[in-house]
Amino acid sequence: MNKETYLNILNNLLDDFPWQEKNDALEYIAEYFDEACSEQEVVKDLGTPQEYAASLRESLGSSLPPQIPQPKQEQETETTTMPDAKEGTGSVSAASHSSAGDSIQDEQAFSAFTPGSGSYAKDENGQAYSLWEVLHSLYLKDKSDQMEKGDSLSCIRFAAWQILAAVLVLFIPLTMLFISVRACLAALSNAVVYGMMLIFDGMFYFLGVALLFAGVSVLLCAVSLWLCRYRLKAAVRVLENRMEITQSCL
Amino acid sequence: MSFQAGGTLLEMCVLAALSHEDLYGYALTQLITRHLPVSESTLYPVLRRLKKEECLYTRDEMMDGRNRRYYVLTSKGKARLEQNLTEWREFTGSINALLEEKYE
Repeated sequence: MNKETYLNILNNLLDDFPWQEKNDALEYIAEYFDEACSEQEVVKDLGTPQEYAASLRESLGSSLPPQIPQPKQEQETETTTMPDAKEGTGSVSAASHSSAGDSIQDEQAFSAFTPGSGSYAKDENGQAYSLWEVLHSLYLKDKSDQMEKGDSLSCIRFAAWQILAAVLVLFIPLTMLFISVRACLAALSNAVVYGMMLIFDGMFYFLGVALLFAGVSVLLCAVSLWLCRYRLKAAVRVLENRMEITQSCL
Repeated sequence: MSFQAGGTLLEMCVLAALSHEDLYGYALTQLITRHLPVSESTLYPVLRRLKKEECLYTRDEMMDGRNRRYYVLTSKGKARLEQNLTEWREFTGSINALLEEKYE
């Protein structure tokens, strides 16, 4: 059995693992294959994918967060709309998976979803799942393979530079226009970059990050404007004083 | 061997191995399995647990065009190792004392 086959089988067997857990485990195994002298040696060390998955499940099972149950039936819809809660409070719409046969959440599992009651959904057994897990499962389940490890880091680094630039600009005197335009550009560029990543890589994770940093940029914009107004007023006052002094001298 | 290394003992061995040098997964596995009869599938969960408990962290290094993930001991990991070693010495001391008493 070669590396690709082993990883593919293992990937399927760990399908109900959280994405991060599964990804880490697969990376570990991939590296193990790369380092080992032969693929036979790896299979000898690890056992079959089924054995390894069972072993991992046994070892990690208790520490894994609760998972959304797998569907009873496969669905091929473009949009999945959660049924309203029993109390009749709202619904959640979400983009579905792109290919037929992919796992999608069982609508019944979230029949008691109540946005107003906190970020939880409940399945038919009363098991609660966080809203994040629901969204993660709905949006990322079949897109996670496209995510690359360096993306989050570069994303955060970019945002940090944006914030740093915005902060530095605060200390450059004065030009209100420049400062507000700079802050607006920071917010806009963040939104564009993260939006692009969201569209092309399915990075729903970064929507939250984008909103966060865009919000901080907008906040800086407001602070900049406040500082400018304050400083301008002070400058005008100084000017007026000087003019008065000059007039009195004359 | 009828004695199995697992749980805290395996944790201690992993921490001890990493206290000498940073190791990547395969090298660590080879080192541990040279001394202890453990399967690789037992080691990965231990590494994951130790990482989660911030006893170690990982750093990636490119080697011959591919990525190697090195496991590095943290100060918390060093403290855990010290604690484990102390307890291990007490434990083996007690067992040895018992065995010697029995056979004398």
